[in-house]
Amino acid sequence: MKKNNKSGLIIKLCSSLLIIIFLYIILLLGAKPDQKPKPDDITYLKSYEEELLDLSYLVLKASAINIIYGLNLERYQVEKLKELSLNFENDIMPVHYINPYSDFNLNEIKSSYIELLDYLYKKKSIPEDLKNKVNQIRIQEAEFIKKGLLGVQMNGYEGNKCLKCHAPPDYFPDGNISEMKTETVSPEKRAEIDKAHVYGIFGKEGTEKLWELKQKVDDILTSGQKYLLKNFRCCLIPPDDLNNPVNIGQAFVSDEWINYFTEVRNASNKTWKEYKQLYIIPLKDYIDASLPGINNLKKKKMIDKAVLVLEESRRLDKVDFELQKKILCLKLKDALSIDELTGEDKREKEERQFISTVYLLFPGNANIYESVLKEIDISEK
Amino acid sequence: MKDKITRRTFFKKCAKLTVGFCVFSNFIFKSHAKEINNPLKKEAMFWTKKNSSTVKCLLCPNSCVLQENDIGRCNSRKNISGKLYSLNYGLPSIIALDYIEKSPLYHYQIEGKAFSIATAGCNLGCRFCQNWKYSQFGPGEVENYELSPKEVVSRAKKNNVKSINFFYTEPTIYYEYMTDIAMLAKKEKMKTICVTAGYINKEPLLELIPYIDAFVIGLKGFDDSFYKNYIGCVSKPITDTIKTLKKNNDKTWLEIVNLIVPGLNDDEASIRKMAKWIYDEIGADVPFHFTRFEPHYKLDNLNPTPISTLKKAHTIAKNEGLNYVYLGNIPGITESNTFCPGCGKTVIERVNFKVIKNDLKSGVCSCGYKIPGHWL
Repeated sequence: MKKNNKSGLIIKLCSSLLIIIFLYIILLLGAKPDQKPKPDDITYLKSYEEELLDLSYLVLKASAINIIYGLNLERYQVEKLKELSLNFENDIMPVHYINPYSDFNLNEIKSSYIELLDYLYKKKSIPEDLKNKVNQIRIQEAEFIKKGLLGVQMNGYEGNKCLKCHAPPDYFPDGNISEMKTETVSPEKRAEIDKAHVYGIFGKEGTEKLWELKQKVDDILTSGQKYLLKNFRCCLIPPDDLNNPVNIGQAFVSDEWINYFTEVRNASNKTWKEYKQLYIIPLKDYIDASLPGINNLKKKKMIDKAVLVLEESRRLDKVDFELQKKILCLKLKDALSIDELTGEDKREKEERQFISTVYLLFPGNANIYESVLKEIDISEK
Repeated sequence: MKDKITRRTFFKKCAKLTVGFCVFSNFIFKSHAKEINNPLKKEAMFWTKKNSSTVKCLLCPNSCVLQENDIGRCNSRKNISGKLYSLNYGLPSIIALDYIEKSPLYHYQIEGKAFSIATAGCNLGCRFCQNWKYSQFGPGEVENYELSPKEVVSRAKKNNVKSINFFYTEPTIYYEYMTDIAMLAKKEKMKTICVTAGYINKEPLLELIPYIDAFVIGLKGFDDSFYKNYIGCVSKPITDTIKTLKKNNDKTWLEIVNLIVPGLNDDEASIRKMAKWIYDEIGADVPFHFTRFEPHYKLDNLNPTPISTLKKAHTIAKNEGLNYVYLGNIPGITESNTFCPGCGKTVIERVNFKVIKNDLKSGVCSCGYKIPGHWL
């Protein structure tokens, strides 16, 4: 009897030990090495916010360079804008430092934009492979931004500053987001977004200063330049080689789009019917790159409108196509316009002046103005 | 007894024959390349017979004397069996819908855009030509459309345009085509515009005037050595053309354009001389445009015209008393706008050849000053 009790005890002990070991193994496997900080961890959120600002900064910087070179500024204008830029940078705002590394898998996006900026600064012709890379990267960026927006709208994330609209990755929706819809931007919302984006980079003091300077900047510009600025949208790759005068009013009327129309027209009826989806891939890419947050339904509407333009082009004979090609490009541009969704074309006068000032006094612009002055000096010799 | 032909002699003769054949065939192919089998082959106007096989073209001051099968310097007219024919009749190589301001034509308003048309060929050889790929070749050497004058007018109507603009290359050299189109256009109450270097003889010019509503003359410089070295002619026929058009101002509108090429025709003295001549001979109210050179053709080694040079030219011309001086090809600047000489107000604003604001009422400023031109 005693022997039996002893064995039973040993068995119980062994079983307990085994259970403990088993549980320990389970826990060991369950614990993730280098566990990510929790979503409400301050350091983590600050790091995320900084990376969002890096992206915003890079896109705005590229746009600022493109618009400066596109406006055909006169010497006196460059001198005045340079002075305002320098004063602004010295008093309020040093040049932003971009962290090339990323905790959120944004390295490739940032490094591509940094590479692009190098070409834009030096006014060098952008190689085709870089243009293609940037266009693809823009789509990746767009998806990242959309997930952040959806994280707030769908998953109820609440944060401050950038995180008010851009949820951190832990709140990103899972799976395919292409059917998910973000909010349409009203004109009032547009003004709020513009200010928030500027505030993120420039802070309260910088934003207020830019608002103060908007009339001064506006007074430097000609009515023609203001017209060009009114129609200008954030632009990574300028519409033409920076070695030639940039015709920013005619960005869509380009050899690229005309060649695209020619390809579409050259398809036989059978090919067009069977392979239309392949032909419209460039349009989808264009929309994806233009607007982070667009959902499939809106995209489909735009594509449908664009396809009508393509089919109109196919009905024209050689002569009428030659006559209409520029008009077709503009119709295509209208079909693919995101202005209605972003509210950018509905900005009031003061808002437009403010955005122009952001571009023209962007940190680091003093160097761009300096290089424009050098070009003017060389040309006047 | 005949000498035997040596191997050396034989090979020498063969070599000469081969070289001769190459030169001959090159000549034949080259001259044939300029022309094309034109279904609308048209006998030219303004020529005379010198003898049974030789003709002399009287269209422009080049006055080409052409033997049988010779093609004129313009690459567009050929002596076929002792008669002169136009090779490019019905064969435009450029067609487009453009804002009329692109010509540049700022004081002649039309509804909508114009149907621009041009054929291959030119009677000049400007080394800075921006359309050299068409102007310096014959119709057989470029791609063409086939459009009869009737079809041109019909296409214009189909595309809802009410003006036809003979533009891009030199309309003088497709004179017959231009006049036939213009006559039909007039019947349809369309406007017609001719953008030309003005290197044309007086008689054909006078016959053309009734069919053209507005001329834009390219006064390329004011120095005969510039004309000789970079264009291949003298300036007098062009200044004569301008004077003739001025005399016929009641029938046709006139504007003048000068392309400033850095280092060649951009010196202040010559621009001043030109502006003064325009003021004295043509008057203060003729719109005068300076446009910016972009590197092309035989001068692609030069830089584009600096904006400062264009602005200096603008100032010089205004100081010489010209009321309407414009700068083109430069988006965003104020010198593409029209200012009222009466009150100084900006009455028309333009960006990229597009009118973005027009404060004139039938060509009259709010101060009462009438701006010369043709206004809607």
